[in-house]
Amino acid sequence: MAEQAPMTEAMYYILLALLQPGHGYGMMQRIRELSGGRLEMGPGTLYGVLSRMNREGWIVLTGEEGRRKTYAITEAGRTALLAEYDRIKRMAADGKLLEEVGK
Amino acid sequence: MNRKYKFHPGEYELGENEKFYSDMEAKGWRLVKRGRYLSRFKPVEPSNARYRIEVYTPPFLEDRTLPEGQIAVYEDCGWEYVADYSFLHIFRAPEGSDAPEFYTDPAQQAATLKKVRRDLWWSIALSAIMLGLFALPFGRSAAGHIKRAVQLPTLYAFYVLWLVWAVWQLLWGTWKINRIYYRLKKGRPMDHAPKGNRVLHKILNQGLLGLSLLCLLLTVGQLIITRSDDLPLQPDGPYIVLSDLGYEGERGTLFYQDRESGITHTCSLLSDYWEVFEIIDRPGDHQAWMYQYVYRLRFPGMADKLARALMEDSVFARDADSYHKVEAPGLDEAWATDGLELVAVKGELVVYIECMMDTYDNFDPQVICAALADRWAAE
Repeated sequence: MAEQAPMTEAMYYILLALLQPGHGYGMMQRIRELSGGRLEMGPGTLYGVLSRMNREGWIVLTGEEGRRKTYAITEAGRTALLAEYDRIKRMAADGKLLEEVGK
Repeated sequence: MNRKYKFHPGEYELGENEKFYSDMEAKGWRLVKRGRYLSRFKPVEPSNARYRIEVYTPPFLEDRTLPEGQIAVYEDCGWEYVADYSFLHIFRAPEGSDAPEFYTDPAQQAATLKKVRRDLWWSIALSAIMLGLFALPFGRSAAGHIKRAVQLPTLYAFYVLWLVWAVWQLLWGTWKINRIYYRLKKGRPMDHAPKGNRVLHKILNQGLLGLSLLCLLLTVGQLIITRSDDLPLQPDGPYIVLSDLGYEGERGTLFYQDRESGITHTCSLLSDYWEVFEIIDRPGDHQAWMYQYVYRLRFPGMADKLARALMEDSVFARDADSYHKVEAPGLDEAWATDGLELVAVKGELVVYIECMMDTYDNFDPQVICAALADRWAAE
């Protein structure tokens, strides 16, 4: 199987936020919390990424309340998120060299 | 005044539109509706509202309305959906609102413009095809264009100005949208209040549009003052009648067209123009008939060119070479074919004549030229 392409920061955090089902605005707040206030995501960026991940089957529509749509992560999305997490962990581990050289 | 209409920047000028609507609200006018050329505003207390535009280009023939889910996310963030036109969807955030910018990732916003750019190239190609098809009926050669341009110059000017305006619109749009696209691709966020001098563009854009509409109005005016009447027995303009050529008879009807004698007169910016048709019944079941297209030009320097065009665009003669020069005392120049056609010039007067006197053999250019010289000497 071909290796998964690296995710953008927006994709990674949206999938993280959707470990708990949520709608657009709720996701934006959760992403801010998860990133310790570091990441502010615009609604256009959020909606664009949601549409793309929905097409790819990483997330799924679970409910509609008026115009608000609630999404949740799918199994494929969870697998992709885990693969990305592993990749980032490996990169961070490799980066330890920097600390050793620094000493 | 409870509403106001204003011309807005073009649809490809995203930042300029955002600034335009913010400036209008600062002056006390809030956007209500956007049309093709004009936006409608209502009076409000002046405030520093922010306006942002979302570009939405669904696949061909699909619903162009912005997805409800997308509107809901934007509204949850503090944006109010105000108006839309074509691929533009306009949102407003009131003064003091902390509504976040639509895109935190410029590259992703650049992706929303991809289809707009592609569609623009299609528009350019389609316009070129449409203009080509539109130009086809204007004649088989430049001669046809010259002839009709003298008769209806403002219609031609409208066509040319509108063509230039349409091309300018497309080129300007291409330039603007590409600038935004490459700026975003480089990771620089959208400029929501671009400075740039738009005076030249405004003059060109509104000037060309205004002039082309003026030309259209003048064309309508010319059509309104165009008069068609019965042909008088004695000419009341710089044209001749069959009796001037020695052919007398009762006015009749052209047997194969059910057409009767008549005259049409019109005035354009380039000429006074008479289109005359006369037919009389003659002894022995014969008929004599004559078509005349007479131009009194406002610029006599055009006479030679028009005469040449009339010969090129003749009904029967193949081209101008089918004509030979005729000795024509009292006229500047005259040319005739071996058949039924003649073109003559004197000063600002130019005429094309096509006639048949009982039989084909009686066509005598000298007699026609002499009658024209007499008539035009009296003008």
